[in-house]
Amino acid sequence: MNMPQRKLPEIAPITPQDYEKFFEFFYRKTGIVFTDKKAYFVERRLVERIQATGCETFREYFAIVRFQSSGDEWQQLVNSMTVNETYFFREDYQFDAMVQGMLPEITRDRRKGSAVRIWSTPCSTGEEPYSIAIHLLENWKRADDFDIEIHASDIDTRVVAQARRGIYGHRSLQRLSATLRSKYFTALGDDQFRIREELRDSIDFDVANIVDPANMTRFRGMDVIFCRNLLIYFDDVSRRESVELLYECLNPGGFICLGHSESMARISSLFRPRKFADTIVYQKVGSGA
Amino acid sequence: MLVRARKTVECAQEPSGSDPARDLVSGADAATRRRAAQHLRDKPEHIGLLCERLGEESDASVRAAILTSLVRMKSPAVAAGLVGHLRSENAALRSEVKEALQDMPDDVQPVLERLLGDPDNDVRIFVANILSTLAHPRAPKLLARLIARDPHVNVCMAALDGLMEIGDASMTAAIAELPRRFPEPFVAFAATAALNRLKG
Ligand SMILES: C[S@@+](CC[C@H](N)C(=O)[O-])C[C@H]1O[C@@H](n2cnc3c(N)ncnc32)[C@H](O)[C@@H]1O
Repeated sequence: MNMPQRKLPEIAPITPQDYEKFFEFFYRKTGIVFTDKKAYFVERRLVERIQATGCETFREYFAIVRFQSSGDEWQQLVNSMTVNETYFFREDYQFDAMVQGMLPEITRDRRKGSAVRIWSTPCSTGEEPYSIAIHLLENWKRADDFDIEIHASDIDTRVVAQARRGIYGHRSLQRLSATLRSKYFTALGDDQFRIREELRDSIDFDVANIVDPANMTRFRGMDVIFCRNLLIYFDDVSRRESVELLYECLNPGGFICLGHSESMARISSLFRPRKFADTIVYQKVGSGA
Repeated sequence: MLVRARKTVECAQEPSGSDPARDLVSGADAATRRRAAQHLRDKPEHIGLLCERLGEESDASVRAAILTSLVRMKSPAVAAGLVGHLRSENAALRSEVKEALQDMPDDVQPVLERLLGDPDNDVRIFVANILSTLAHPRAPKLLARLIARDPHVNVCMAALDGLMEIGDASMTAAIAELPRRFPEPFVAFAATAALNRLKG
């Protein structure tokens, strides 16, 4: 059936000053800095949102974003602006480092049956936390000795919902062997695969903004945090602020793993770089508590 | 064994009535003081307090939080409050402050310009170090000015280090003068190296 096309309202041009206000606001709330390279991307998404809400001017729309009590439009806007690219077993040498170096160290003096907490933030559509789960089950000999909790969160509600559903296409599974695919996924046809229920049920997915201190207080006592391919979108100050908030979420001696193009320069007083399995990760030092 | 996480509902909410300014000063543990510093990140009225605590605070993680909040509120007042710590006896603090100042080039540049005439050699060395990596168009000129006029050899050497990276051919005259002002052999050596590099 042909749906009648809804006519999109004409909107007044967005001025450079409007953009500046918008960038500043978006940055303050999310840590994300848009570079000129992204201008076209941002403009298109912004216009789409303005039209979708039936607003005629940027100012009218911006007022909704800022003052709407439900925060729904703000969330829609965030969802449309984020870059969610991810896939299974991305930068998996860090999973080796986790199993060979970080976890043995963390659990050395821990009683059997105690909790080990791992957090994937941002988790995007879930490939990262599921990869962590699979890698642990496949490769960590002591996996059965501990209660492993995997937490996963992202600022984008849409990707978190997708992560909970756990349905993936071929593209995101490319790095997975046929064996792992058949062991942990059910084929749905149409080149779609669903991750098995046991795994879906074992991961705690949540929506959380990494630069918002109030959101971050929900996550405490973590042993390993994967924070990969997010800080590249931030400026130095937001990077530092978020890393300081992550510090609060870690157990003493806990680790942070960043993406390969990200580094923790300048936060040396809080973390010590450690090398495991050819990758550098960062260990919390100091009083911790 | 994978287990479903029990959501940590022990939300570390602020106890109501907590006062970040007071907690920053007298919070019993580092975590409380860090949290206080984070809460003050959008309270410019507390810039003075944050700058002051920096000098008193013994825990590096709290100092890091204070500096992050100050960088977030960067302004001439923050820059002015921070440079005072370049005189600190605490080497760790001095270098933390130096890094923070580098994140506010426009605010710190006029302050540094004033400090070029500071009587303390060590402060001027720090100024040269900061200028060497400061993303500000006037930084090379100010380094050149130190090289032309500063009476202390170590300050000139620090400035020369910086100019090696960010100087240009217009500064070679002042550099060429250096060996005449300071007879130490390493000065001639360093000046020649810099000249080759800038002319090359
Ligand atoms: C490129 S993905 C990275 C996913 C995964 N960690 C990986 O490395 O493949 C970046 C994710 O960061 C999320 N994001 C952006 N800003 C955020 C913020 N302030 N807090 C939490 N997540 C954020 C986006 O929604 C997006 O899903």
